[in-house]
Amino acid sequence: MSEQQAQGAQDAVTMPRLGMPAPQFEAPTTQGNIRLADFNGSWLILFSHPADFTPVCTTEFIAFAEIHDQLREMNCELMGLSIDSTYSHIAWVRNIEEKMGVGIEFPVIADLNKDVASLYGMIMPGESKTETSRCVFVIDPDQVLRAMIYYPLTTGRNMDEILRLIQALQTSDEHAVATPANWRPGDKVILPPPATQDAAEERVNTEGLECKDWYFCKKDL
Amino acid sequence: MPCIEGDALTPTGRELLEALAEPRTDEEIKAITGQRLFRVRISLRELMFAGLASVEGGLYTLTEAGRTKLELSEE
Repeated sequence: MSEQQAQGAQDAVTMPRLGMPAPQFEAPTTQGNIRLADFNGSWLILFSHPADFTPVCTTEFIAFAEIHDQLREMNCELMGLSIDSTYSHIAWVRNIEEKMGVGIEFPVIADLNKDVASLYGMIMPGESKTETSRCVFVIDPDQVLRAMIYYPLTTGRNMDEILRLIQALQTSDEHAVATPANWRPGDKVILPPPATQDAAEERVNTEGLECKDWYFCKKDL
Repeated sequence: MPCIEGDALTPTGRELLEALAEPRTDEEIKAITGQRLFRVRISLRELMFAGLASVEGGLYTLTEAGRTKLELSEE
């Protein structure tokens, strides 16, 4: 094993998996001690940022605050995390409100001992061993991990995509369909491919569907 | 908002204890108080830790200590 491989093995952490129960935790936040189970019954976006009082993270916090009401309307909560203290979080959140005029109403985990960051694989040692990368975990009302997005330290996240992701997941759950590339609410959705020859024949003869072929049909909701 | 500061109930704490006058689920308390569900659960845990509320079969209720605390806060 090369030195690089050995280092890689040493740095390996358990990564969460899509479709599996989200790892449970209890952690101190800006709104008191919170357990993941407290969000049972709601969608949750758990996101990490590298550090308080940094410019890209500040733009992201403002952007998350701006979509917070839309998320709440979709029964989706928000919770941030970084490897900073509760006092640092409080000071930063107050600074954002004072200097930028934006209130941060979602809780922020103070993960000084990196417990939650390690549980969710938020630290990318190739980027930084002391900061969390820009991770997004979408957890559904049954506390199953449904989506993950990882961005590097340099690049702020796109809130439109995060909103679109929640809308797409909720649409898929409600109607048992999939969503095509660049889907937006109101666009046609994709039907799951038929599993039998008979079903395939029936599918292409069903009125109201837009079929390119038996396996590739869309419909309006 | 915390429910207890020092030894005193906060307005949030009093509102929650009042909602527990009869046994209720966390969802029912959410509907009464208008708080987000996760906030209700945090508050209920705080009240239970302080011995002011208890839970059985998913129904939260006032303890005797909680009833006394609520009465004292209203005086």
